[in-house]
Amino acid sequence: MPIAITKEDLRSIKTVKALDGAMFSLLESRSFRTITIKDICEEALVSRATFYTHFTDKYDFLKWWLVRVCPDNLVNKDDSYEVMEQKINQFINGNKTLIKHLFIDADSWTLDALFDVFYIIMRMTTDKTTDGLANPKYIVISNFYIGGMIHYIMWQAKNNFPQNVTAMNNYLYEVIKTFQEWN
Amino acid sequence: MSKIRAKLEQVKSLKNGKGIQHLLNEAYKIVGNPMILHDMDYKLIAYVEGVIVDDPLWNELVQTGGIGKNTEGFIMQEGFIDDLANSNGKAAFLKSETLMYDRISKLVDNGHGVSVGELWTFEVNEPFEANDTEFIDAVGELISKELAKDQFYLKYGQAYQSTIMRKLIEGSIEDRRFYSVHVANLDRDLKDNIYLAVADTSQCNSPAHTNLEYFTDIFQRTRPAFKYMIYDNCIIILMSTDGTILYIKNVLGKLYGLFEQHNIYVGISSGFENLYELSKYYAQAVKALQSGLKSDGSQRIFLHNDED
Repeated sequence: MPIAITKEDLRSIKTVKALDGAMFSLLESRSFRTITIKDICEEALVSRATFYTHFTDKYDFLKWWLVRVCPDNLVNKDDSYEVMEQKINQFINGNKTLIKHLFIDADSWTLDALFDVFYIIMRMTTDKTTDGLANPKYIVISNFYIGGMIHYIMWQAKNNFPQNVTAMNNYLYEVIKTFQEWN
Repeated sequence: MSKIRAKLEQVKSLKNGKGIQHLLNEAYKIVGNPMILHDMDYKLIAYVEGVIVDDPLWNELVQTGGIGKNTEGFIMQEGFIDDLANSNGKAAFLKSETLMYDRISKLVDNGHGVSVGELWTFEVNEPFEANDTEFIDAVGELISKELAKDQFYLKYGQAYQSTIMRKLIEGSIEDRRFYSVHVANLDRDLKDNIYLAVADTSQCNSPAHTNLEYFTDIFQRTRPAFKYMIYDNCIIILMSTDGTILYIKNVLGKLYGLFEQHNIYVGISSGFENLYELSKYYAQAVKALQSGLKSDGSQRIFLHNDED
């Protein structure tokens, strides 16, 4: 189950800003797989102990960071699936290098972290329209959909984004319609 | 720039030997802003008298000799603890949106590499400039020289470090945010790969074998870069290396000779980075030692094996 991550946590604002900037900077230049906690700490000028005060490992940090960098309205409960997808895809479109470094050559723990974050986002937008996790159909469909979306983004990244955002939205919207019909 | 250099030279030329109170008073005359020093438990050590500082931390320390939970929580919420933890032992600017004064803070060690106190200076009279941290670093170093002469602070440093290690081994830290500066202190001189060793002296072939403090002292003098404590009738050694533990004799250095000389057996954990996981690696080291003592009489150092 995904770990609950909220933006209202009490971590030091300065540490947060420093780590945020460090992650952006590092992911612009190399893959997440090759980034170590030492790299993150040196880039952010944060001590190793401070890092471990707030996070258990780099994957825990990745989950926190992904929720943080997503635009605030990405996790808006009032958004429909279509709007949510548009926002995700726009984020991807605006940060292609970063996405490549995150998705290409991702290890299993990175994929787990990505899955958890997508699950949180999806849950926030669907809890209002369905009985959420109580619905066994939802569990199957959401896992299937999120797994597919992650691998689709991975395919896009590996092939240098051959499909543009509009095309991605259209294809994924067709999948979402099927999901909605199931509900 | 020459004015700043002159001021720094004045600070550095302050003479030791007349106590910390005297040092703070003299430094205040040069630096222009009041200073206060407390130990790692927030117990007041000394402060510049005769100055009104409208600050909750200053007032509580001066009036009560310590601080309560509310102020501890406030310090944490302000991010001061993280700032200090990230400062790598150097003076750090601590800015606040809610308090009247900005401040500079520096951890002060006891002359033996263990932080035993925190020196604060408040922007009461003179506005801070970028290099004011250099002055506070210099004052902190002078205070360390004073503390180095005082056996109390040597013992306090050892006790403080042991307390933090024990809490980590026992996993009893409830709020990591409050302990980040203490854990950062412990972590500061450790290299990339940390290892925990448990040394069993019960089979020592000298009459001193019951005196764990004796061996801890010897180990400390032989390999001062490592950190030591007595726990559960063994000596815990926190050591680190940039490489791996494979060349264990290189890592242990002269300690290895001491183990051989006194018939001491040692279990060592696998490598790690996160001191908050110390309990897990303590268990590994203990298990390695126990398995090793049962299985083989020829070896002295037993490394954790994932297959155990």
